[in-house]
Amino acid sequence: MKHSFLVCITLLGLSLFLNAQDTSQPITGTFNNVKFSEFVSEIEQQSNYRFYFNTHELDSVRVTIQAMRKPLNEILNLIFKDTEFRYSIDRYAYVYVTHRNPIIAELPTYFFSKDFAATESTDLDNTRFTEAEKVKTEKVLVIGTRGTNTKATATLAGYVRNNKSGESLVGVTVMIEKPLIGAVTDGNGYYSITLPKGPHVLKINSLGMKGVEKSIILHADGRLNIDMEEDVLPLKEVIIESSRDETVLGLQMGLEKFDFKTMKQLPVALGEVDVIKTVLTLPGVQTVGEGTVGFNVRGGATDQNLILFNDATIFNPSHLFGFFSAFNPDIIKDVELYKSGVPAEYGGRIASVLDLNTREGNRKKWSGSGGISPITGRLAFEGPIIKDKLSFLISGRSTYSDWLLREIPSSAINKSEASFYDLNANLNYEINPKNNLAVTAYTSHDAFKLQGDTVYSYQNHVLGLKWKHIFSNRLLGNLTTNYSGYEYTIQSTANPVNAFNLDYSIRQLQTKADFDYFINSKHALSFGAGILRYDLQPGNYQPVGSESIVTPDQLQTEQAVENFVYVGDQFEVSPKLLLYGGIRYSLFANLGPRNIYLYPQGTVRDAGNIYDTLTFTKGKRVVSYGGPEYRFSARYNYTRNASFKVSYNRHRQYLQMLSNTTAIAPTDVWKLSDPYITPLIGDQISLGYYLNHGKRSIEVSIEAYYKWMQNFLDYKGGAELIQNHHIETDVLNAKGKAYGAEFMIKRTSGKLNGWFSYTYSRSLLQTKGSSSVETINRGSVYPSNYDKPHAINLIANYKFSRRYSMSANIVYSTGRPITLPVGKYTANGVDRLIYSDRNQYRIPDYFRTDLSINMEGNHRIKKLAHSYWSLSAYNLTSRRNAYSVFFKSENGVINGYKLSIFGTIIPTLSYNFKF
Amino acid sequence: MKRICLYLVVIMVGCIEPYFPSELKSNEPILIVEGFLNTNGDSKIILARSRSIIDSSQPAFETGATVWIEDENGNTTTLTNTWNGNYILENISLTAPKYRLRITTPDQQQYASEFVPVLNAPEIDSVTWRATNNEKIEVLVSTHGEPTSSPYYQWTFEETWEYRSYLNSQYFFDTNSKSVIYSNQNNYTCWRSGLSSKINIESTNRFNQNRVSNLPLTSFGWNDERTTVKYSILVKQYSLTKDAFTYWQQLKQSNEDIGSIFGPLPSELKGNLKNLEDETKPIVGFFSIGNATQKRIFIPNSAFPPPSTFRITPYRECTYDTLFLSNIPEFSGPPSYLLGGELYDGDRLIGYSYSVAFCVDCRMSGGTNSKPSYWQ
Repeated sequence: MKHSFLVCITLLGLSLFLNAQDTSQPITGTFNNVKFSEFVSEIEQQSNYRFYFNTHELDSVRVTIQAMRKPLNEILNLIFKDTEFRYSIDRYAYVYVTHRNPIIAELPTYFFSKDFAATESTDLDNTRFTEAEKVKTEKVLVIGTRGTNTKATATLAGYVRNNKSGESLVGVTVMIEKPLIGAVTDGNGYYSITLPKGPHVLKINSLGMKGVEKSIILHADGRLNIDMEEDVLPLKEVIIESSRDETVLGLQMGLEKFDFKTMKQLPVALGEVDVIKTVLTLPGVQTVGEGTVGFNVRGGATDQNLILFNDATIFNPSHLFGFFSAFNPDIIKDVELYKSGVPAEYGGRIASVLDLNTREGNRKKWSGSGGISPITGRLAFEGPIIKDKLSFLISGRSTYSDWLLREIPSSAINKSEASFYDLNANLNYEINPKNNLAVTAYTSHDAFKLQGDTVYSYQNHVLGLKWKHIFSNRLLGNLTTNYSGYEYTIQSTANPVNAFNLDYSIRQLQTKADFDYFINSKHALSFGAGILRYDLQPGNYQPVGSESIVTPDQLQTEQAVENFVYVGDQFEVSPKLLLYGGIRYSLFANLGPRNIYLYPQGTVRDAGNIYDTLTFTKGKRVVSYGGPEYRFSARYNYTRNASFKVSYNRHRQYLQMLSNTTAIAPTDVWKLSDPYITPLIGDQISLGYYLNHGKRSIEVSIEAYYKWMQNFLDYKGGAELIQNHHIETDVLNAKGKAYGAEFMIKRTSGKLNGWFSYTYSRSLLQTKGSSSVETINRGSVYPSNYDKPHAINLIANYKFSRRYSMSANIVYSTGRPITLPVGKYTANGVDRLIYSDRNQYRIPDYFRTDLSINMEGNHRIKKLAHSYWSLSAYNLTSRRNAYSVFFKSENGVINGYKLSIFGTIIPTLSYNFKF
Repeated sequence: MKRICLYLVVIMVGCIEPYFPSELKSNEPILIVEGFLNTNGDSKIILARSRSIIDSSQPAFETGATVWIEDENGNTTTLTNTWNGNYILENISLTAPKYRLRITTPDQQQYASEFVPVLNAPEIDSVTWRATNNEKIEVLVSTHGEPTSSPYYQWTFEETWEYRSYLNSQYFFDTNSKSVIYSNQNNYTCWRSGLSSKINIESTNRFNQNRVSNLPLTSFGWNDERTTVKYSILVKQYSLTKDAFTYWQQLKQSNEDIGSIFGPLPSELKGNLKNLEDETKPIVGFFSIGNATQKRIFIPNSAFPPPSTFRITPYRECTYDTLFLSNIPEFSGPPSYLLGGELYDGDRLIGYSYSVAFCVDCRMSGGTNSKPSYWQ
């Protein structure tokens, strides 16, 4: 730490030297034991110098000096000798006097980059650079004209952008420390902060960007756009560092944020950086097994996560049976996962929100990136169409896995085929500083044929339009409209007599308006409204070919409308206490045309006892549901480095997935709430304690939660979910509860950094119907499929040098619950199994170690292409982690088996580049 | 223990290995009822008791129970407990449209099924076979029913095949007299048979005709012992109610389809029987009644395509040796050895071939040497 101090001092000296060149105006005068303020007014009279200082602090300073045409710095040096005061002078002749920490008034921007390139090969301690970069500032900015504003405060607003690509930066903290006032940029990179008039040092920090400090003098409301420089150092620590103030000072709890750099450093299974695999390393996130993209957040089912891709819902986030997520990692700007304390603007799912934002496209110059791994190849291009105004980003990714399949010496496998691709195109148009238009288009496609002849394929489609408009410094709005679609097709033509084609589709159209209104430094209001339209084709089964005797069978279409309005206010009661209160009101209506079957009251719903059918014509309301969803959060800063947070949330979910397999299958269907399938309601209370420790590079957090879920879908034994005309006869209504505590310790900088987390969590269900057919486990509470009480994650990154780094990932969790047979019996010479209570056993515990080594190219900032190699080893110990344990009746004999997905170490080498 | 590791898909190296969890709770034995009262033949109900999965002792059956069927007017017919848990309906004269099964176990628990309709299966259209390109023989069934009759079917089968031992023996060695005696007993040709172990069911209600076309029932390799001499299969076809179909489907899912990544989760079976006094006392099973239809086919070995690998028979390791006439006095003879055919040098008998008994007597590998009555 001594080093960094020295660097600072040296820098200060340099800056003074440089400044003196521009602004030295000789001072003449005699001062005898005068107050500092008197001294200042004298100097200000005879020169252009303007002083900024805290009168209180400098009360004690008396000036006794005789000067004859002496430079001001010489005089000040004498005055402040043996005191703790420091000063600096910028080129506009502003003089800042501070207690202890000098403001670095100015430093030429080339200073660092030059030095940086020169020291490229020497292995300097990185911390020195980080420290040094933090104090780098630019000129002092004067905002507004003195005297035009009669109020005590003024509002400053503007965009924070990446200086190279011109892209707006989200979640950037803009704050001053005295008094502690802060703001965070919104989804458009826009911030608004109300500050007392006068000089301030704005500190701007963001994920993966170099910290910036801006000295400002605020006279009246004004605009300040801030450009941030990307942290070109491939430092692991930079990635996590930026959000650290937010962890303690931010209001949000249960929020996990990361960007491409975080994803990139984790060892991966198949050489591909993956969004959802990264999410799985976070505390509170579980999965039923490897090779599935479905994830469970705090005891919620996989369909209870709202996955947003540039504001549009994604229904199936998986590629290739779930081994990859359906998002090209290169284009991802940032990812946020809300586990609790979800703000009122989000709704529709009860467990979590996974919000993915893609980059907008470089507004300054053309560039591209890509990567090659044994399974996939990907490429992205971006650049300006009109410089600084209109930019684009296109990307594509595909697999060439088919050749691998053919190499496998098993006739069952080498006749299999699997392929996927995803494409994305973004267009961003800054019409003028007040209006911005963004268009996003995305599609993903998967097709596979396993052994047999049945071909499965599925697609996601997204098309979105977003218009941002700034009404004033304090009010801005977003108008978003988007389309999300998902469809799958199953086709089998091997037996011409039974040849068929089965289609499923869901389409969602959404329009919403969101507003942020920064009322004053105490209140930030967000409000909005929106409408969603759902159209489902739950199943269309058709014959293929003239020989087929398949009866065309089409399930009734489903359609519904969901409306919502919300308002939320963030209220800073005092610098220590920050509150958020929000309410969202959603209203859902299932609409005709539709036939609803009626079953006698008090009996088990069964297709056999339908006594009547109600017919609803087109547009007629079949049933409607709705209600308020309360959102509340509070943060109390107990010290500068420690805070308590508490939150309560209610969510309503009108769209559920029907699935009675362990992992998400491509053929799982989404179902709208109807008269029998009532909306899911989830409530969560959470409590957290956050601490930054020791130069703030250690963060500790503990969060505990308790969750209640109503109208959870459960299934009767042997439920048929595909082409079922009365699904209500096969589903059961369960209650769920989940609770747990997440403990995390994180080191955010240094050669060795990373995090360790331990999670204790339970996820329990209870299905107690009126008859035994509608009851599971005799009505007692049983663990859900993803109840894994103990989970430990350790992520450690070690940097050998600027070019070589190593990461390790260690995962442990309790095995998931499974149902094992209670016994067997023999009849006609065949052994058969019988099952009773659900989920009474567990598969063996899960343990995995991964390792990866990243080799970066050299770090010249200007060169043709930046690239890195990544060598990773997944499942280093080759442990055969169980995916499932099962018993099977084979040739009349019972055999027990354990299935592991990755039964061995998987090494992968991938090459990634950026130009 | 041999591990079977499979490349499941792509690069993912999936691995299935034998495994038994260390702690398996064992429940109270549950009463199991299995059976289709086939009024057209084997009219039997099996009462079994469940036991722990790791229990490798003899199957447990419920003997000594009183089992009868009852129509809706209360007329009853009793089934006879012949052996183990088999209860046979001897005097078959079903006149009512619906029956239910009643059971009183030796511990005086009363059980009853729901009333189920007597369902008569349509005739089987054909039982055929085909050779697939992964060197398998697939046996297929086709049938059709009236458009208004039940679309739910179940098939069971009984397969029988003729096979031969390694050496054809017309002699045996008498250890007392140390001499070779001619025997006319056949222990060269045997028949082996097996019952279907998989659950074969199909529903035609997704088709516009009540027709099942070429549904695979069973398969075996081109190099299987079944293809060595002659193969026969007797397929029985049953009509099921929707509930019975659902029960068998669930049993199939929990027993056979389990274990894949997207496979269904096993679930508790309920069936159509319950304890009359205490519904919480478990009983698992399904009672069905009706007429089954059947069809038998024969396939001679000449019809099967030649396999590309050695046939898998019990006799792959067999070799023979020669017992010269001059060596007879020293020959120790059976039980470990049996003689095969005569060996001649020109016209002169010089001895006999011999091998271990297992390679000569076909009965020792599990078959029977009595020709089935239906064998052609």
